[in-house]
Amino acid sequence: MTTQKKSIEFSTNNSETTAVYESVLSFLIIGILCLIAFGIYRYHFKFNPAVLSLEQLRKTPEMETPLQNQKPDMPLSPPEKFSVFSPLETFDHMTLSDKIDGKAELYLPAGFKSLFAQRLKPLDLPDVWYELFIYDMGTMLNAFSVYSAQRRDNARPEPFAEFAYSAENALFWVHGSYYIEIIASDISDNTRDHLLSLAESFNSQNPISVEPIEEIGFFPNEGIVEHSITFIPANAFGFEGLDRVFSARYRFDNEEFTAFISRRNSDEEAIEKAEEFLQFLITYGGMEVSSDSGDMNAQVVEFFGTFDAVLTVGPYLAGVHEASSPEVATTMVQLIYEKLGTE
Amino acid sequence: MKNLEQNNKVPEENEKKPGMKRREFLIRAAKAGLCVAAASSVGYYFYDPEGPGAFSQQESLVSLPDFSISDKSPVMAIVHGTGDRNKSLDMAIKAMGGMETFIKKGDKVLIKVNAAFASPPSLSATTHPDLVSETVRLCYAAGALSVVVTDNPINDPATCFSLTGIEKAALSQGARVILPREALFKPTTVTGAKLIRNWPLLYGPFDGITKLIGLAPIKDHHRSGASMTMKNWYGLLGGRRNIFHQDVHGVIEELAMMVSPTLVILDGTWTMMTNGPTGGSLSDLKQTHTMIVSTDQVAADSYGATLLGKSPENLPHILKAEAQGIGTTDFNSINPIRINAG
Repeated sequence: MTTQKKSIEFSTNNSETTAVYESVLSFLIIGILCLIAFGIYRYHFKFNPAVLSLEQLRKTPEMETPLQNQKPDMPLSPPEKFSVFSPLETFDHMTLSDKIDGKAELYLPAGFKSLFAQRLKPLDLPDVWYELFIYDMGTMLNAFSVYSAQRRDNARPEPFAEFAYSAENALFWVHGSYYIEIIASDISDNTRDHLLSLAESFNSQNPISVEPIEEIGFFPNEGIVEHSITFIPANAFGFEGLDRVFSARYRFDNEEFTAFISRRNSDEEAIEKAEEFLQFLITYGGMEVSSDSGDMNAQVVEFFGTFDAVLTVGPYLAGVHEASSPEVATTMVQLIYEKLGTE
Repeated sequence: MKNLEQNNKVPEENEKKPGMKRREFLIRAAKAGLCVAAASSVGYYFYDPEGPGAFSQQESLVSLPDFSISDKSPVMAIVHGTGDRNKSLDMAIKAMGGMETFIKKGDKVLIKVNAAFASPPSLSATTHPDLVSETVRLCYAAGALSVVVTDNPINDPATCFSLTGIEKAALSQGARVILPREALFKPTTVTGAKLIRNWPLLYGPFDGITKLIGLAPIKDHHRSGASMTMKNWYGLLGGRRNIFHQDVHGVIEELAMMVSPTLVILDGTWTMMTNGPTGGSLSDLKQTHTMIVSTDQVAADSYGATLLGKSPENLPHILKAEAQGIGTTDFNSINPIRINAG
């Protein structure tokens, strides 16, 4: 740019040049302002706990929990041969961590509504107590979600409910929208009888109509790791966009991998989610692999030495996660495809 | 239209019209500057660099003294192979020169236990009462003038201390149990911290205290990956501290900055491998037969992580604490004394 041109920037003779510079400058300033505004917006939505006031938390009416005000009844009256050892405690989404600390993060995303907790004493063993944790999860699926996420290895299945198991000192089961834990303070010869007696009382005092969870029946039996089916309410396999996923562990030739099924709201949504999940894998380093999946049109992605396969059948999105080879992945999705095809 | 006509008539003015006069530019720039200055002034007027904090009324801030033995290099003892907590603790302390190395005659000792939940000792969700009673005994044997046992549990304090067996164990050896109440909390700000600022600290039990021992079990933790000695200091905070779970590694780092203990005792006799921090089933536990005693809380937790099948790389709060210069994740560098008691 010459000195002459510079000198006439504000002159009336070169209005077009001036207009261009002004426009560029304006856009630049607006751009900077937008960046600042965006920065402020982001900063203010980055929650800093240190600015929360204890007093405000105590006094603000909307922070008071509905359960604390309502004092609802315990869903279980102490059965015969048991007495109340501690008062009923109730917790909601604001106070759940007051009872179970960091484990609240497992329940809250799964639709947690409320927790009732109380200790009961058996009349025949005055030194022992049983603590009942009754989680109202809103739906049976949510209850199954937290049940399946915590299922202990080597647990003993209990026949009194479809989803129930016991450990040496405790009993865990799903009853309608409730997920229930009963934990004994000590083990005795009567522990098991006491646990089952309390479970029976709870179930009889809270009648429900059992609705089978359809997706569980779509997992092929061949190679499945027993009791490994879980329900992931959100963020399945690290992908935020994938929710409401049933997964199961499989073992073929000493190789373990995961199969999954998710019913979407429509056929279109299933296809869309499948594409998004594949794109997610590719974005983070996955590479598409050609595979002979025939009619089922499954897509396979290699992801750092393991293989994921995805397909859709009507409203169902299904697939395999972290298989050891593309052959294992396609074999498994073929089995799922056939199961879903019978639907 | 009128302008166009004028422009046709006066060509010189036509050339000037699209541009901006210097005067006009300066006036506009000045107005814009004034607007920016006014907005900035309003923003600055409302800006509070300290934030409201957890206390509505301004109280003077307190901070914990340094309880570490500053003239001593970090030491550590690891005892393997026995399920007897008293035995393994005694062996570890003896190997480190005896409790007299850490507790002097006339010391007033505070033992920070993990009494977070009102659950039985068998679940290993809290500090085992056997470990509490033995630690108190060792302190008195070393010449301690008084021993205080405290924690601010998640559940009801009285129930927690009672049902965990900690209260009975502490009292049996002559320690005093201090349950948290509002008057015992004072606001604290950890220097350089982003989270623990003007936040209630269980400060009352520290009145006159000269030595601090942390006593924690090794547990899986759903949010932080592990709960060990550094996480155990969480029980010194008051208020709605659960909100810190949103940055749990950050707050554990700051807790480690806040507390410089004399000694930490990390109980890996049984380790809660899954479903922590509450557990619930005995099948969540694994018998790992290990007792770790150290003056370096970072080193103790780094070793404790291995019992959970993890490493400091899996637990960001340990790396953060090391980056703050609180201790070392390379526990071998402090030459831990290893004892096989099996």
